[in-house]
Amino acid sequence: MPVLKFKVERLKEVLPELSLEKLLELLQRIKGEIEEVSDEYVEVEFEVDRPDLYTCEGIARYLKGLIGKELGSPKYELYTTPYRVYVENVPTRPYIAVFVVENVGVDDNFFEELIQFQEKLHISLGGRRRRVAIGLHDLDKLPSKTLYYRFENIDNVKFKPLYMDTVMTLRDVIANTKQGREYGVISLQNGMHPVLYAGDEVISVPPVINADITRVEPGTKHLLVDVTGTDLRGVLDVSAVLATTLAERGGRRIGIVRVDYEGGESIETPDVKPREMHLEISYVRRILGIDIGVEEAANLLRSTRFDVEVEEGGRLHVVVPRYRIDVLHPVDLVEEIAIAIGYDKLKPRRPEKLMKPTPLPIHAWEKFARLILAGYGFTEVMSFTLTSCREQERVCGLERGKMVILDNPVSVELDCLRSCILHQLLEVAAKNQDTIPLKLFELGEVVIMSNTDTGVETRNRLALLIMDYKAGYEDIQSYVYGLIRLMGDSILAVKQADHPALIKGRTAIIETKYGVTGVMGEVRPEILEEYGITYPVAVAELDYTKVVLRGSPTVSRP
Amino acid sequence: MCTSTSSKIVLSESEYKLLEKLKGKVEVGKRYRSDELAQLTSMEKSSIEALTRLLADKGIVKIETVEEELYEPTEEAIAYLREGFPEEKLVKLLEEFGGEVDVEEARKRFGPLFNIAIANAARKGWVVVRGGTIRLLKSSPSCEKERKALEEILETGKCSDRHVLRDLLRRKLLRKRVQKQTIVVFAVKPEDVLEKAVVEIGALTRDHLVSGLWRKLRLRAYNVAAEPPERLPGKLHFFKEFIEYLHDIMRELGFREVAYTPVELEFWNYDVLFQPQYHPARTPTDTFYLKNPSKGRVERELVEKVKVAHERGLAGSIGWAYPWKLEKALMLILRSHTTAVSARALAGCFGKLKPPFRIYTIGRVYRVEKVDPRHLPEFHQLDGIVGDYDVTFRDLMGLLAEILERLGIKEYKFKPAYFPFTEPSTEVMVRLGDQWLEVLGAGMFRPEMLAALGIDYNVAAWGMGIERLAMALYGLRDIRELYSRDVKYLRKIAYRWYIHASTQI
Repeated sequence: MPVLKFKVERLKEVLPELSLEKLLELLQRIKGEIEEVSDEYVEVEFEVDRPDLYTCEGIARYLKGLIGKELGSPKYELYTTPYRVYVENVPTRPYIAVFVVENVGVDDNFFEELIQFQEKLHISLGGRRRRVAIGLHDLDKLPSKTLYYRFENIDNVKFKPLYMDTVMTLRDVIANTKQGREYGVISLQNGMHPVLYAGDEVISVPPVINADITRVEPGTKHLLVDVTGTDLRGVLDVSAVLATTLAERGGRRIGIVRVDYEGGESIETPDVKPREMHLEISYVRRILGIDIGVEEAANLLRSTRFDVEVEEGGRLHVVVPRYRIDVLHPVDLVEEIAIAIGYDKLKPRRPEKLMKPTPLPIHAWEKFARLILAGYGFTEVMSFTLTSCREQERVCGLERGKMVILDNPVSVELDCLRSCILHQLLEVAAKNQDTIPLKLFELGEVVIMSNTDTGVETRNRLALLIMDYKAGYEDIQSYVYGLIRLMGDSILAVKQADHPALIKGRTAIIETKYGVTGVMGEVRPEILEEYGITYPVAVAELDYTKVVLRGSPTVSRP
Repeated sequence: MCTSTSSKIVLSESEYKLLEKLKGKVEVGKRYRSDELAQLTSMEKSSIEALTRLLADKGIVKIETVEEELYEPTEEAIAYLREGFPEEKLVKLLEEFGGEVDVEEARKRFGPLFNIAIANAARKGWVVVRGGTIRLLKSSPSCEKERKALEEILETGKCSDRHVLRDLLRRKLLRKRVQKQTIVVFAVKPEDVLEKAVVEIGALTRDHLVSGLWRKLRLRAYNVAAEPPERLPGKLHFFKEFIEYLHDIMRELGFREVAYTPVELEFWNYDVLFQPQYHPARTPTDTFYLKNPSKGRVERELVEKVKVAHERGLAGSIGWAYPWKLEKALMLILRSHTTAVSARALAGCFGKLKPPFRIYTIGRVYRVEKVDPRHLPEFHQLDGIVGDYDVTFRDLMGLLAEILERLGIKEYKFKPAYFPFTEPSTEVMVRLGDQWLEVLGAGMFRPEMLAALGIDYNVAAWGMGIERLAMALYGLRDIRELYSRDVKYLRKIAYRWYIHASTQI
């Protein structure tokens, strides 16, 4: 999902041994989708599962394995730092991790990439900062080695936000800055908000913005990073990805920070301890359908940067670096093996078993109904199932409470999921008054309210419309009768009926032996006028959801 | 042209009819005026002239045009015919006065035509004027000759009485006019022509067949390259027909069809599929949420398993380790993929499953997008699953290859990809013309998901967007064309039937 923009110059810097062409090929092999390539930049899309590939160093780390230059897990040296975090109760965003990476050497090129890395992590793993947010700080500018993470009254917090000249209250920041308006509500509760202090200076108000005091800029050498969030896994995952990736620039050294939670619990962050997993070779074979040897599998895993030991009985003991947050289950290692082999080397195996197809009976009904209608000269149209609540109210006479209404529609014309089709055919007719006579039909699904697990049920409807100099009840009735009879069905009952869009006395409800029900009639002139239609129109809407041959079982459709 | 006795004579249908009517009524070599022929055939003179000109081209008749001098009465003459000649009126007046009247008295009584009346009456010797008095010489004379002549002239333009004619001309009661007259001389007898005639017509009719006339008929040659009128049929929707073809392919491959309502719980659309609740797609920026109804129901037992899968992991997985919330899972949305239907199938919503099985669904899915040439807020997807103990990733690839080849796609490649619910996963790119298009995503359903559903065999799955493929195969640039409301467009767009023959590219 995130699209990343890398400087060609930077890619050459981290992987000097690869030509750009070869590099692009390899990027696709590791799930990258090349969006654009220019002389200066390569744009590539990576999915949310691999945030460890969101920087050039991360890509190099992985590709060096695939090209055989570095095998097995990269090793990071951890050291203790004098920095400490005291965490109070922050109910809206309880978790924090802090760590130090020295000698990152932020230059102009890397600064651009670092900001992108932070942004994309916010979107993917961070759930647009709701779940996890990151604060980057220039270690040298940090006013104190003692940090406090507190839940504070927003009127009592004053600081100069990043890239701003004036001191503001946090209330002000939330109300009057772009960042504040966008992210201010995420962790705000009753006028209280998370705040991170170094000594008594505010350095960040996660997940909104940092203070300007620790601003990272080209020239920054060492970084201190805070990661806050609503679940510990997310915070630790993001910390691990960030710490190890940044450490690729800082000699693979990571400075640990101790985080003391109120109530006595304390953890050291980041957690970059690798996970251990067992992978049965038989499982690899059962998933991929290939006959692969244990040693071969082990070597392939090493080339994707895992340490592997072959155990007895065809079992692999695999060490999974902590930054590989996508590896949850041995099946994820199976995919690594497939990628290392190359999907193009896996031979597709064609289906051999013969199995009986079972179409939905209703589908067969539709097939023949459509043929008959085309034979009658009707043109089939296809509308959206998203439609206007207002039109449905007006033409189909549905009450708001009986309609399936969207909470976040893209436009007012598309604010409902359709419960009828008639109004949509009227719209088409209104736009095609230069084609007279006009005969239209549409068949498809509508939804109506129902006591099911989703609160609705699907109904299959067929709508017909005739527009001509004269188009009356008998015209539409003749086609409906013809259709029903040609489908081997027969008319069971036809009764005068009332319909909001149809003329009284020229409207009927119909019922057939096989269970088709519906309404047909002439459209009221006032409705035609509202649609700007200047020809008479006759319509029908049939419901064939429950169509069934006498004696055969109904195929129930929710 | 056609005078040789042995060869056939080509006639039009109306020429044929004319000759038919003249059969036995005309002689060769005799001169007939066109109006005579009109009378003989009770046809319009103008059509006789037009047809005889055509017959002359074919050498059946000879045509001469002669000029004839004709007369017609003036308005004055017509008035005399109606009211009597002035000299007649004068005689009447004299008779009223006992045969003699004073000239001035008579002039006063008679009116404007007095001079004409007295001049003509005197010339004819009916009266004499002497010493200021007019005297009648003849009893009851009349202008019967003149009247007859005028009536003849009115009818024929000619006058048989030369004296009267001269007289009328002198009195300026006639106008001269020159008229062209067509004279037709038959070179061959109509019955002889008819014997050798072949009638050429524009269209064969039922009458021709019933009357046996068709034996004499020859159909006129067409300009076969001329543009005919446009014929538009009642028509099945081209895009729907493409979807039907996908149904056909799935049937050929032995799949069972299932369907479900597009309103879904987040639970079936995401949670069962092991997609964490914090996933960025699970927000109103990507997914449509419902205001009414807004909350669904789920079976307790499955909820517990899915919760465990997410929070702690199932089947040897470490899970996503975050607090999973039921309220979120119960929120109603419009499904964002038909994989929700596959999830329901695996949960037994369409009946208990026993491997091996092949199941598919085609339905609409919804994403928060504005309508533009490349995006729609709703589109179609095909989702399929294959469940079996021995179905593998390679079988999935083989199945997809089979489907694509049945769509006529010969070039395709499998790329690694990521979906939260499959592992390994692949995206399939296909070559259509000179573009590579990503048409489907596929993979083996994850063990966490299968374990929550109580499934102990492999399930291969794929999902395919239909609109983009249809656009590429139909060469459309604007996705909205698939949902066009322009009926002319829908009636005129040509079917790409060859797609249905697995051979188009």
